[in-house]
Amino acid sequence: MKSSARGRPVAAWVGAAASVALLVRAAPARAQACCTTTGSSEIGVVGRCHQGLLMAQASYEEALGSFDERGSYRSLEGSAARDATLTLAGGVRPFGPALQLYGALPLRVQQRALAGIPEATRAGAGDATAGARLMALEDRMAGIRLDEPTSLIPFLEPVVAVRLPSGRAPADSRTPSQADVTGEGAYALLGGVSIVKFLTLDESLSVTATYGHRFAHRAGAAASGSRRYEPGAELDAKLAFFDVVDLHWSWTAFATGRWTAAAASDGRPVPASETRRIRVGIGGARYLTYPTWQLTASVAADPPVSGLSQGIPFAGASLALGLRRSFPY
Amino acid sequence: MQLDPRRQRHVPAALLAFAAAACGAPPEPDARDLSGLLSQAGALRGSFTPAPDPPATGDNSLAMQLALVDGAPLVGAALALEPWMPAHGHGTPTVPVVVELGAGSYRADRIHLTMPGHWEIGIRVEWGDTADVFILDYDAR
Repeated sequence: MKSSARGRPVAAWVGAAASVALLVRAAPARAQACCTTTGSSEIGVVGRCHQGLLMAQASYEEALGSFDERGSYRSLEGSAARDATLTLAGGVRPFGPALQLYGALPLRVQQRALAGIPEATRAGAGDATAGARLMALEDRMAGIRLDEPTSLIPFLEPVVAVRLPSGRAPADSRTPSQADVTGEGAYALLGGVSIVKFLTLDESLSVTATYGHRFAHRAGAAASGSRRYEPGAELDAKLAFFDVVDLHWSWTAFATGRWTAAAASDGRPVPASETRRIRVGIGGARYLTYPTWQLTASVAADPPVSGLSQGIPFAGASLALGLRRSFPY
Repeated sequence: MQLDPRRQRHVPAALLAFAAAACGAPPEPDARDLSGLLSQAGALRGSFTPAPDPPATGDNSLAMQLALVDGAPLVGAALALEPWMPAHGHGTPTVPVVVELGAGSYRADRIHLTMPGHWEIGIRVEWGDTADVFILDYDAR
């Protein structure tokens, strides 16, 4: 009896200590989860529990093929297109957690080796993006419980952004291979929504969709003179699944889609100018120093399947490595 | 009831479904016949032979045989070529060079197609006080 009586308090203490340990572990894990799923998959976007962010991401993309206007995939033969990009980005929540402002500037080094044309490598800034996001709904991050309707509420953020033609447009190219073309040459106004829903304590789904209006601009060359080119509207979507493994590690699988509507030239629709690009990828993130320094890595690719994408001159695979410095409250 | 994430293994399937829902089967490509073309104003007929054939990304050439609609070879004309990617709204920085070979034959070099896809080759032909235009459809591989 005595030994049994002594055993009960010991068991209780062990149980209590284990519970505390689990709670201590769960709290930062959830904090990490919210920041990872609401921030680290998008360049420059501040995580939910952070006040600010500075980041740099280096990526490399190698073209392996192309999708023609009918969606047929062909391997790239006799030519090469390689892009290395260093993207500098940052964001801040200036007036509390609801609103964040963010921006990104890509610096690109591009190599083009095309049959019969001098190989060229050129560097320059790409098109910069600046935007704002407003936290309209907030997930409690406890997972979905069917007996608790409020657990269905996700993070919901309307997004507005502008893309600036800071890169070199095709009309301004001076290199025969156009290796120096780093931008679209047009302003774009983007609006959309980002939704993140925690399925459980540490797994979530994220859907981001933005509609973009690309403004018309002059385009043209020697023989025909100037034309008014109206690029079609664009729709970007991203579906991602996140799994936060522990305090430091998380991984994600994602698919992205980009659709552009038909363009117009001098007011006339350009036949077969719609494009579609579907990519899939996986990635991981590791806090080097929690909760400030984080390393991210991802690979993505255009699946070489005819009909999946359409009107994409260079499709291939990419690798990205990022370093994020977050600033907690 | 709480959903167990470890059992949500249908998520990758959902990602694939997202990708599959976005696509459709590609139709068969059209053949590009560049012989016996009528110019836009109807004043000329032309037959065109690209090199390489079919056109490819990179440096291309174009052999042209031009004639008036009555069949007389077009001699002494001035030609200007412009590669144009209509879906993307851009051309190329390199201006093709045209030489006349005689008896209605012309040859254009330095047609730089900088990416795979559909290109239009605009050919403006001037002779005497008259001008007309051919537009060739290229599918560069």
